[in-house]
Amino acid sequence: MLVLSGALTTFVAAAATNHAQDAPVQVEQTAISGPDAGQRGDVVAGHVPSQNEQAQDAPVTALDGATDGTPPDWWSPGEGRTFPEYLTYPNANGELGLLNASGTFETRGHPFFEPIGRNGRACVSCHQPADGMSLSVRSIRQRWEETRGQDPIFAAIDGSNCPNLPQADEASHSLLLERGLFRIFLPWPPKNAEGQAIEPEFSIEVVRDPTGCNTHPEYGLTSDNPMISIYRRPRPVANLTYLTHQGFGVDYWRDKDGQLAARDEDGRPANMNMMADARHATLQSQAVEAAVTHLQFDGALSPAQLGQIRAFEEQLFVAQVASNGAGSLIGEGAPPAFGPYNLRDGKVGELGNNTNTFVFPMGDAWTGAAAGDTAQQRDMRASIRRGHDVYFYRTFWIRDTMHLNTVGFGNPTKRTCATCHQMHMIGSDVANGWIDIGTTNLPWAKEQPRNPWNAHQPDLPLFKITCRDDVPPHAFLGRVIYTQDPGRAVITGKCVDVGAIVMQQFRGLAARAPYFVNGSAANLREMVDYYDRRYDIGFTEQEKIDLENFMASL
Amino acid sequence: MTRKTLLRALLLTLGVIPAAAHAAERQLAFVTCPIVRDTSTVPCWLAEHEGELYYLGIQVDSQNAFRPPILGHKVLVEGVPQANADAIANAADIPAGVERVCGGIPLVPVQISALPELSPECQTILPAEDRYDLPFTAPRPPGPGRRPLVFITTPPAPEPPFQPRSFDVPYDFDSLVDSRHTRWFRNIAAYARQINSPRITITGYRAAVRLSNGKCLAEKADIGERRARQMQELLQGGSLPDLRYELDWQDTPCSDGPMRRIARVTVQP
Repeated sequence: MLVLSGALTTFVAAAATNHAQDAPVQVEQTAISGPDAGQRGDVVAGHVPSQNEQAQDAPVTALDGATDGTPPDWWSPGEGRTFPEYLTYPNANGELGLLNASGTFETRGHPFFEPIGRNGRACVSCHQPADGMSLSVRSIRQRWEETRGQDPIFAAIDGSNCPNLPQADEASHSLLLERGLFRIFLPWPPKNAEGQAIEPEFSIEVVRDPTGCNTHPEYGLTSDNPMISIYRRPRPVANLTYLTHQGFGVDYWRDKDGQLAARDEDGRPANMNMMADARHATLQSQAVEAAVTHLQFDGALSPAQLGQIRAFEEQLFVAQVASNGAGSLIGEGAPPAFGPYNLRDGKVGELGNNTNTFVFPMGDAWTGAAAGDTAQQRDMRASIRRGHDVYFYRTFWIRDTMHLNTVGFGNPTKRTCATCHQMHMIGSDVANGWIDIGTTNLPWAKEQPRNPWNAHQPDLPLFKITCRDDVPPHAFLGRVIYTQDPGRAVITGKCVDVGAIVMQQFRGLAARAPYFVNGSAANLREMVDYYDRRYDIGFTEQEKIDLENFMASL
Repeated sequence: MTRKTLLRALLLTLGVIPAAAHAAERQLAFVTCPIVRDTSTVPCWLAEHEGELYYLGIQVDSQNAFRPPILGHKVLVEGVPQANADAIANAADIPAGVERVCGGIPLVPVQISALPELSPECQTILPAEDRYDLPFTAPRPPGPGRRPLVFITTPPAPEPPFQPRSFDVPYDFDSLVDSRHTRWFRNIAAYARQINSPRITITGYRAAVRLSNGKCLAEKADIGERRARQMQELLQGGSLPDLRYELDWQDTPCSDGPMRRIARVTVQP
């Protein structure tokens, strides 16, 4: 049983009561004590009480985000707007569309939109509709300028590089302002579902600590409440029926490593593709942690509030709806992959890496000229189609990728982008799994070149991971690994999981740069270039342009 | 055909070499760096031993029985060269009469196992050459499949009276559960549910094999116990929480046959 603060204990009791009334499913108890097994029936994950302790102890800056006039595309907490059934926002590549499939509602009093914690934030603070329900660096920078750093997104707890830093100083928020990264603080060693420490397979040494948080006596790894601080992008809160599906590839055992899958509150095998490190498998348990860590909420979200959050998140579909070059991406004649209505109507939990289903079905759309098309439209539409074909058919050697080259494909394997990004309609992984493509592990992670002529200093922490001799080494990096973010290993404590990150969905990309878990790709070109470099693909310039155009249309 | 092979065939025909000894002699077991060769479709995997190149298999899919090696790691190869095999037609996908695939002599049946420790010298990728194209159609192209991948298939329900059924779950050398094992778990769980089994016995084996160079290659001392315990943990933590589990572990002696890297799971009625 978890040892919780008073408010969280109250919540657990309430949730258990609700569970008994609504879903009388007996959850079997076993002796299993891994990081995922205990998620069955538990809305409060084992690591949350430790996080709550730091969140409540950290300073709360009185931020209100007041501006002379709220920008129309920025949703402030508690402003009580109406959320319409359909809304659009312009972006650099065209226009984004959001389908609120259950219809118009008032956000007044809704827990997703109200500042329920102590720092003035709401969920919507970091999951902005105009940014595809994520948060772009462009918006973050704009809010800094408009509010002189007073928007709640800059809260000390995780909107600054470390809570101890001078909060009025722009440099204290550099990771958020420059890369769009929020501080994620997790107990080390990791906790199992019962809140007990898991013995990790490796030791962690802080090699570089530019934010000061990992070595800080109150917030760091040697504090009384030992925490590792890593910095990650907020993921889009949309199209989540796909990411929480319980269809193909979701079973009691995970097909990529044979280990136990997490369970939902009813004890059923759950999808683990929501969070970067898969530490939550349900929207409810994620919401509980998010309220504690990001909102500094010390109360108990009621089952009704959790239900409201879940219901909102499960019916929101986001996709690009217009392209600057191609014109409308929806409606008659447009590819069936595009737009939020097709997402709403798509098959959930389907493997798309085959020519029956396709990941992003293009049909016969845009294969011929239609009356009224401009030359620019024809050219862009042709480029988007070519980009799809590069994504779906262009083979290259995928190699040295943990949890891909180790799961039966061999190393290397000659495959395509769609081998990994294969979930029908959103391009994430359909099965439970996480992969290390090198975005946080050296030698592939983006690092500042160190030389006498480069004044830029590294901005992310660097950890040295040393795996024990009695466990198998990481298949490609051995027993000593340098990483900016241990990824899934922060939850499991396993050497093979160091740097492994759950891949993201491809929707609304044009609205939410930068990309990758650590914001290391500032734009779509940098993302394509990363893959080109990492896997020695040899994309032509035209292939890169086409891929960019395709991805910006999703 | 070499003079040595001719002589061996003659002695076998005359009964001078017993058939069992002949079978053992044909078995190769060696540790080497794997080699991948590109083709116009999917890549194929090879291994060199005493100056000869052997064909191991091709890239198919993650759920295929043949799991290709891992560059950066050595591989334990066990198999019988097809040129000496009695039943060439049993070789999956290889047309009768084909002596080499991708330039290598097929090993049939073949067992391979990537060794856990890193061997950074194992990095050979050979380019595609027309002369080494596959003599058969790969079941899955390197890009998208022609049909959806199937992970879960439920075996037909057995008829009473129910019998104990054993599942020999294979492992890589010195390794525990990995991605291949989910199909075994599903089959074990399906049978246990179908017969309403109250009890499962698990024996984890520590294996050893006599390599072709005469050395004995044995797994870590405690691997049998770890296999048994992990198997119980995963079955009990999965869909079979209420059954009684009985565990055992054993060493197998070093022999000339294929290495038995298994856990035997027996579902009792």
